[in-house]
Amino acid sequence: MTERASDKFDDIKSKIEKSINPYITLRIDLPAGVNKENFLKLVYNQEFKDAIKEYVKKWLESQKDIDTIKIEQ
Amino acid sequence: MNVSTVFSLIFVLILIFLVTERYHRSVAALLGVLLTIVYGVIYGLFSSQNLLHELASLIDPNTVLLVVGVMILAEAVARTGLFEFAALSIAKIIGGDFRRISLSFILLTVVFSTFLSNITSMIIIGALTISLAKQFEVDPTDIILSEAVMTNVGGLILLISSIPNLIVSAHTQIGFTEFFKTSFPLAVLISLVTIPIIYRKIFHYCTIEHEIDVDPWTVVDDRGLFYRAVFVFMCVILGFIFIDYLKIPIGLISIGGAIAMLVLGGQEPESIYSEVDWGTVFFLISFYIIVGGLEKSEVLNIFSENVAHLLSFRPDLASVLNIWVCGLSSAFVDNIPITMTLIPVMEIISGIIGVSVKSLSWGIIYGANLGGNLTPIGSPSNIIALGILKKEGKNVGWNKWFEYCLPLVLMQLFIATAYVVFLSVIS
Repeated sequence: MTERASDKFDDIKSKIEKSINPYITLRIDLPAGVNKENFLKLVYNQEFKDAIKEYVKKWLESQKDIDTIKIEQ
Repeated sequence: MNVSTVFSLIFVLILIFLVTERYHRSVAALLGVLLTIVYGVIYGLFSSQNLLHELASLIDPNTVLLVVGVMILAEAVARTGLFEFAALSIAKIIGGDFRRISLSFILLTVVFSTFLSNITSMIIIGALTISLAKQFEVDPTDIILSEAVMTNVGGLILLISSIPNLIVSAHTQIGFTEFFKTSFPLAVLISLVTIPIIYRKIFHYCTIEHEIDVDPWTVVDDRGLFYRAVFVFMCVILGFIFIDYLKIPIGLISIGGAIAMLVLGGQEPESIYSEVDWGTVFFLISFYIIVGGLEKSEVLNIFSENVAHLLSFRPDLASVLNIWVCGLSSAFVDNIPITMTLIPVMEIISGIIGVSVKSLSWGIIYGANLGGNLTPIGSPSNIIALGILKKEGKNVGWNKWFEYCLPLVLMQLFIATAYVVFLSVIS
């Protein structure tokens, strides 16, 4: 498969995967005082990803609460 | 060395380059053009004063315009997400049964490759299959291979579905409607026989069910553009259907649709042009000149007379022979040069053995389209299918291809053979 066909396939696949299984891509810069190697390994850490997922849920819930309070005010 | 031998050697040399993939096929063909011009001038087949005019007269502008127009239009329409939208909508309607989704995608491959190039169809349907297979946690190998086999069936449906169809139709004056009326039943017949066999092969997916929540609109970035693309696309298809009444060259409808899409689409034209397969366009134009050289040097005449002599014993077998010669050659060489070389040969032979060139040409069309699936390298869609599987960590070699695809393709070629015999009987 040529490089062009391969890139086209990746583009379409990522679009479809977002439709079937929505996801977001974030860039997190290295926080100060954190070991670089341990930080980079987090990409492969499922426990970390699950914790982030939970945090997303909590965050969105809290935003909903804030929005409700704003509407009530 | 006489002129026929020189031009035969040029042709054989280019075929060797194509089979061995020593150079990109368009580069090999351009080299063939260069040799044809040089030796054509040396042997007096072309006049050096009028060379450009003579070369231009060998090229069929209608076919070239049609190919370029369809390529631009298909690329512009595909970018709107129309085809992914259609497939995801079907997946949503079907629900969470992976076996049924797989079968619908295999059928969609036939539909997509009717309008799109085999490469684009395989990329879109392959991406959909891989994404859903991941979701359902199943091995997509058999489905991807089935889709690769079915892309060439889609190539049989319309005159615009594949380049061999365009080349043959231009030479034999087969119209858009006549092509559809003759070839569509064969595509349906082949699908009706092939799909149940594939169904049995992927039957083990029957227990796999998964909740899927798909919103097909997420693959469409701009709904306005999406509707405009659907409108232009439908107008072009209607233009093709009513071509006999419109009385304008089919190439102009195609290029007109492409221009309309570029104007109404508002997409960046440069990026659309960059995705057009210019290699195939150069290849096509080059082979018009190479085959023109073969005609002028009498190579095709000599070859045709010999073949006609052999066929004079059984002229009724000519079409059947065409399917298998084209089919087996297309397994190793691009089907464009095979078709372009055989069509003038058939024109000569038809006069000698008294069989119409149209009836001979159906064998070329069916053989050239279906034969590419005999080997993993025979068709670009096969190479894409194997590339997609490789990206997913599944290495499919020739053995697996022969085990899974070869019986299906041989069966399709036998069905096409029976169909061509049927056509010659009813005509």
